[in-house]
Amino acid sequence: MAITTLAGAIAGMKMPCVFTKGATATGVAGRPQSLFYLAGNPPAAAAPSPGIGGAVLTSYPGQIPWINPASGNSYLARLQAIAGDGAYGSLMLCDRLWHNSGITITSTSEQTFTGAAQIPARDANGSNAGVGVYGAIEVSGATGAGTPTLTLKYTNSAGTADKTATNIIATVASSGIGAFYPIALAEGDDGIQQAQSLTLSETWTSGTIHAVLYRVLARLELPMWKLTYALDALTGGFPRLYDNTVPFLLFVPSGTSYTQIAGQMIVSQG
Amino acid sequence: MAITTLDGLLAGFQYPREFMKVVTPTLVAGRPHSLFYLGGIPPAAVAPTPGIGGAVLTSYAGQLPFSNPGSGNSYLARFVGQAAIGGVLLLCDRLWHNSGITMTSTGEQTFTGAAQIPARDENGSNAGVGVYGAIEVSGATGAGTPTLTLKYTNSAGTADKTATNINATVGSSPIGAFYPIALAAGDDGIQKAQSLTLSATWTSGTIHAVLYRVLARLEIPAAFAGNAIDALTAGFTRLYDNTVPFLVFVPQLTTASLVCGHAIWSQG
Repeated sequence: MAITTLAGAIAGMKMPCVFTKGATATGVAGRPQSLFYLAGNPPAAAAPSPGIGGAVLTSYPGQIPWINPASGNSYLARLQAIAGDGAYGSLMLCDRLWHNSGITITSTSEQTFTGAAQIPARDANGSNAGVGVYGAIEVSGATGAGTPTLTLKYTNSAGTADKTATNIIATVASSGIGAFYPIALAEGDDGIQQAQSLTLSETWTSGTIHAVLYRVLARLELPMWKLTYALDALTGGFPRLYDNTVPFLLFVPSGTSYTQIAGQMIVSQG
Repeated sequence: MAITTLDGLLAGFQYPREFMKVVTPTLVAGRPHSLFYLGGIPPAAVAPTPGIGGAVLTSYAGQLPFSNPGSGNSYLARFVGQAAIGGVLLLCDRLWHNSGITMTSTGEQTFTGAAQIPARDENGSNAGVGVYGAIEVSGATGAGTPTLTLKYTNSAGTADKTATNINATVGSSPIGAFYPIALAAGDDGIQKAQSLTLSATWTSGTIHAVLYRVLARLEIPAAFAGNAIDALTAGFTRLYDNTVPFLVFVPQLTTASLVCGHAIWSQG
């Protein structure tokens, strides 16, 4: 059953899942920063190591805790956060659907994700077609010199293979752990169902990167630091969170350094 | 059925329509800039080519995704955004646009065959109340600062009304420059664009006449300061079937800017 009333939303409220993440590596204003590898609560995720073919995710240590409902659906009912000194911005709550490892950061050849699987049935419509699912390149080990253009080849939500698009925000040398480079969509596309390959236009010298497929669940505005903001069932759009959601956080900062991101997520189920 | 209760709002929420647009060209403070031709999410729109008579729009590749409800109505329920500089982010419905305007001509260029807008003015009719005109650049212009005179039929059905651009044009206007056209005295909207006259050559480039309706204005109070409006704070604006949502940013400064965020509709 879907929750379609305020009474249903209230009846289905679960305990808050609290998060507190410490200072990040140096960021870039406006570039999303993944908080996945930061220590705190939940603890840091280990860098993925499923290999170039990647892994479909139904849980991953370091995610915000998630429990499927005994019956019915799950929805985001509250996202509250505060950003510490240094930067304000936006906090994005996302569902991590797939990621890989084993990308050679010095290679400028196409690196095919041999064996990569289609996303699980958690796109915007709860299917594995990929509507509203985006790609990104995430840094888990600081990169070296170089500012490569990142070209992702993918199968779009209509099932058309070999679509290509590049990073929206320019890469920088020495990108710190957590740097998160969203990939654009090719003309006419509205999402990704499978990642196929990655090509770097030049060497990034050293470091570790991963291709990630994710869906944005919510964006919380943080227009000032050290002030708390929140969205709720009515103001946040009550987005559906499908079974086996792997919630993780991205912060889009106003500056290059910041001290802490803390808050809570509350889900309503029923 | 209209949504008239909070329960209805809650039951009708749709998934977020994300946007993250690549950095704009250098901007002009206070002059709207269309994000329609920028790559990113959603992908860049291709410059329109329907010809001088234009096309009534019910969808267009590069718009924010929008699906009509199975039944009932659609409303804006959340609009959140962030930009590299302060300003105002406009969510608009693109109703009509054309192509084939000669940049070097100072004669009146008649939009022969142009149709009336679809039934998506602010009252859901094709009269044109709350519908405005603009000139949008899809290929950077050359030298010249022409005054742009749009002739149109107003929402009362009176033809041959004329008005000019509100923001002064500049030479070398980049892709995305968006020049809103004023309304003539007594008018409250446009139902059909009739012609365009440039007072001087703009030398080169590509421009389009656009008819659009503003669905929401989101204040971006400072650089990278995220901000949001919702069903209650934004007026729960009605989005009619076949809405073609696109974004226009009114920057505080000239700094090239990244813009990101998302929109959520509620339907029922």
